[in-house]
Amino acid sequence: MKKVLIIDDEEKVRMLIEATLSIGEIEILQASSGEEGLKKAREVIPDIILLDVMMPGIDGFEVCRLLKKDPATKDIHIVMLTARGQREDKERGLSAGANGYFVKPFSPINLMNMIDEILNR
Amino acid sequence: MISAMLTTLVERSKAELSSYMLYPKHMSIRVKIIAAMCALLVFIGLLSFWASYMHERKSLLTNMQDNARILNRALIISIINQKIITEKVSLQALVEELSLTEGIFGVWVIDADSRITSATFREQVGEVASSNLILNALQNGYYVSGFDTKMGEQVYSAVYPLKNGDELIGLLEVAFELREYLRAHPKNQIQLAAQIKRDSRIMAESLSYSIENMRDVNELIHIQRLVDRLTEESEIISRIMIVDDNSRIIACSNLDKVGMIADDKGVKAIINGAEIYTRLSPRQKIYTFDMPLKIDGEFKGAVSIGYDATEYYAHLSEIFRFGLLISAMGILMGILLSFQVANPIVRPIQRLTGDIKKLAAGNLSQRAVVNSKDEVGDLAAAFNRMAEDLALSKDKIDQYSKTLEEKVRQRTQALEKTNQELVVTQNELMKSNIAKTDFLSVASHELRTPLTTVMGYSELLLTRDLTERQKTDFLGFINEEAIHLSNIVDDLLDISRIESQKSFEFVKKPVDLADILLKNSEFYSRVNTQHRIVTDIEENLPLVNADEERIGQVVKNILDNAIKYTLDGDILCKVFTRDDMVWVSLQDQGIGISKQDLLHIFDKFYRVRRKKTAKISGTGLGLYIVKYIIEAHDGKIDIKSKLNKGTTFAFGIPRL
Repeated sequence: MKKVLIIDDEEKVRMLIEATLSIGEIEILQASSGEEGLKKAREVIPDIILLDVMMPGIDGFEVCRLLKKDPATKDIHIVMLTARGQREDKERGLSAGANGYFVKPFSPINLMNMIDEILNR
Repeated sequence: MISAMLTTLVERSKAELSSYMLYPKHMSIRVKIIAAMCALLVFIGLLSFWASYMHERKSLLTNMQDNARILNRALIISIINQKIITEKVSLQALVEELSLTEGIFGVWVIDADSRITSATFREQVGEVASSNLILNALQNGYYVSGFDTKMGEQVYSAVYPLKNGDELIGLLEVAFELREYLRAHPKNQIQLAAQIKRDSRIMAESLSYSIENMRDVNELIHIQRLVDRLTEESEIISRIMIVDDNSRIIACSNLDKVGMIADDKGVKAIINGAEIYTRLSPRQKIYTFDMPLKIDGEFKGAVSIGYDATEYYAHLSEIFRFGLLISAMGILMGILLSFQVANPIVRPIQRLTGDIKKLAAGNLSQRAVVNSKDEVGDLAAAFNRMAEDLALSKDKIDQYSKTLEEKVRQRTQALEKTNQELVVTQNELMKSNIAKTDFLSVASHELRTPLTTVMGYSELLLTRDLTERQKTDFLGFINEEAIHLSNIVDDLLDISRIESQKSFEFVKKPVDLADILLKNSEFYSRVNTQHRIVTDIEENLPLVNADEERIGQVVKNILDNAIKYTLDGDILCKVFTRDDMVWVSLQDQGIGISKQDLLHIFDKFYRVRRKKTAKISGTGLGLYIVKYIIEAHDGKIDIKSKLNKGTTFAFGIPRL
């Protein structure tokens, strides 16, 4: 069973993603901060991490950089999920090692399709 | 600038003055006048000297030339005479001619050695006379006469001594034929003898006289002797030379040259046909005249007469010295005259120049003394006018300069002030710009996050089969986020009104601040269960004149912040009076605000940036709006905070 880790400080957003992905055979894990997300990622080694950028404590860019630096977690497919839509934010995320970028607000159906595509690749 | 203008004016005035008075470039006017006077007088002196010299020269030369012509003529006459006498009165010829005289038997000329030099009978020439009469005459030097026999013929001989002065140089013997004589004079012998004696004596004396004359002439007309004598006797003739028509020197005061060919230019010129040739030899001081020697119109040669020019040169030298004296006197007089002429011109100009220099040195009150009505007087008057103008101009310039300096100072101050204001404004603009950029980023996040919730849940509601519980929860989320979005939009609209200076109208009326506080605290108590809101309200509070809605907005914003930045703990709300104001204070136990942040929390778009605040939503506009509203009520804001301890935020509005 594929595992998807959601790291976002907004509970409503985590719940929305969980509700969106709940129809598939996916195990959904949640973390409300960067620190918690790192810890869970290293424990679980998910297939995909949906990572928010603006979070208290360690922000999403730093989490991505640390995971990609760690051999144990560097192969995890990381999709940055953020309200920051500027081009320099995308570039910054990609340079931190992110595999994709998804801008808020997003369509749950599109998110679902993207997750399916990554998992079936 | 002023000194530069002054220097320019003075330079210009100098240039103008120089055009009036021939301002000296290398030489002063005095020197120029002296030089001109001296030159003029020396010129006049030299001119008179030259005229005198030319006159003297011409006079001397004319004299010498006339002299030479006369001498030449004399020479020619002498030579002609010599020629005639030589031809006619040669002694022998004379003797022979005398012999033809009737009654004369013969004539003999005997030298001091008794030798016959000339005789009627030519064959006797060279013989020695030995008659008693001869011997007697030679011995005594007297005239002797007596009867004698010559060649068998009775004769009466008269012997007459020939003398050169007292010296006996010879004898003349004349023999009379007695026969013929007796026939012609038939008288007694004694008478006859007396007659003969008398006649013979007369004859002999006459002959001897002729012979002596002839001898003198012979000597005189001997050309060389003539030349010698002329040279010796004349004080002014230093040389005479006579050449024949082949340029051969036949007589010369320098005997060594006789017989040589003359190669003088003058002689050549005369041989070639010139009438006269003159030349001056300064070294030998000889003036030479060359003229042709013509006898009876026939060219025979040339005569060169050299005059001693020593006197001539001495005379010239004297004239020259006189000329020098005249020149020196001219220079002296020129200098004296020049001072007399130059001083009246130069002194006023020098005084004026001094005045100009003083003016140029900065003494603008300097004026020239005008004591003449000539050009210099005009110049001094013009200078004074110029100095007046200059002084006026300088006053104006000084005045203008002072005004200008004051203006510059004022402008500089204004500029500095403006500059400072600009720097402040620029800093504010930069901060504002940074804040705006931050605001856009924050606003984007703050708007996108609730929009994500609204859009996401509404899409799920539309596309999924959901349980009733899910539907209720999802709709609740959508509603909360819509309210949040609405608040953000309200804040933005308020800011927009403030920014655009549009009417941010206040509807003020007497209100109780405690009512406004309680209304809001109750609302927050309902929607927020994490924090306890405690109120402490003073009794008998006075009313304030305020816009209830706007003051409510202020309380809401402050309370909202207190709740957002307080993780847990009570929020204490107080209302009280102090200093004629009614105060509302809200005290939380939140994360607090640093001193640095306290300086900026009322700035537009400013948000405290700390890890703990990253999660806290907000636009950075709330306190900006709060400040604006309180100030519009003539109120005051007081804020105290300690990091990690909490913040007390209070505002006061004047009581009624």
